[in-house]
Amino acid sequence: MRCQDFQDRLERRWDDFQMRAHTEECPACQERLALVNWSRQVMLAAEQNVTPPAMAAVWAAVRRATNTSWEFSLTRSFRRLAPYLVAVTVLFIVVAAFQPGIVTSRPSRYASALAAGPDTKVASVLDPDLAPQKPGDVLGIGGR
Amino acid sequence: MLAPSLPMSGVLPELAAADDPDLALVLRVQQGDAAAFEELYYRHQAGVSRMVANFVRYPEVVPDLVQEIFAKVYLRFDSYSPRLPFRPWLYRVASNHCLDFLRHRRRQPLQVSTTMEDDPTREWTLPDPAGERMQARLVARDLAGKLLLELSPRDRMLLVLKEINELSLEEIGAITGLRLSAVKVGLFRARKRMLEKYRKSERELERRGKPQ
Repeated sequence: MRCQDFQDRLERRWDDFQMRAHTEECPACQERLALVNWSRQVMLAAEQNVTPPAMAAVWAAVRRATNTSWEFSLTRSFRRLAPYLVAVTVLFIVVAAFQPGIVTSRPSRYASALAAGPDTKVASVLDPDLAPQKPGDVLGIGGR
Repeated sequence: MLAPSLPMSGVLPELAAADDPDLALVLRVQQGDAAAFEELYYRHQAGVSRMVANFVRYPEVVPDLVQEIFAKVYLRFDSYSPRLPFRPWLYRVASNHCLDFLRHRRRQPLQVSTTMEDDPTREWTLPDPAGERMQARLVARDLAGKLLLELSPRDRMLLVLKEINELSLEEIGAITGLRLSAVKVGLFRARKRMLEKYRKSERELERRGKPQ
């Protein structure tokens, strides 16, 4: 008997005369037999027995899994799109920041007036109290 | 490092589905027969529970995992192809589910399920493979469990499927996606590694037991 045949039979839990004869003349296979027997004992010693869940619990798990798969597919779609949405938003902000004309294309009426300075002539006609004042004449009574 | 998930497809020449005893039930389930699924569950619940319990080794989560596995199987029946017999396919789904569970739980420290107090100095031994020094004085269930836990998930899976579930080499190959020769080599190496760990822990115990 070849060692390979012995090992194959050993893994298949065979036990026959040929195998026993082979172990007597082959120390390597004898060692292998001891190792297999030892590991089987360890596995049996370590074995844990549990009670399987009831069928009703399995059906409940099926229902949960069905609901979860729906929610998951929705959130997965959003998760796939989210980076693109963020990238587009960031790109828009960057482009907008480097083109001020987009934000304020023309100065406003009030900005033009401020740039032109105080039109005191017009103001004095409309309101005599707004006659030219000396610097520091806060109340406008300096010239009276 | 945990093993990657097992492939869910692939033709495995060692196994033929022609004489699969579950095939008729599977076909009924695929046509929407819930009673057939229940029958399949009753047929395989014990084996799957045993595999999950001994591979994962967290007894408190085993019922939840088994429920989730069968729920996953039920929802995946559409994708099941009878090229592979049902039992290896079921165990492959179960293996992947257990690997996912361990991957998520990896950050937490492993606990050993034990019925006894965890005392590292307690005298214990397993039968020595050489049979030279000691025979079984005390086969400690929890320490045997520790040896099993110290193995990599791949080694543990092979040994659990072989020694506890008593599956054939061909079925283990179909579940793990390994060739027959790779299953044999993998089993041998897993046993060797377990023996090395046992001897290491034995030396550690002897070192602790020596007077200072």
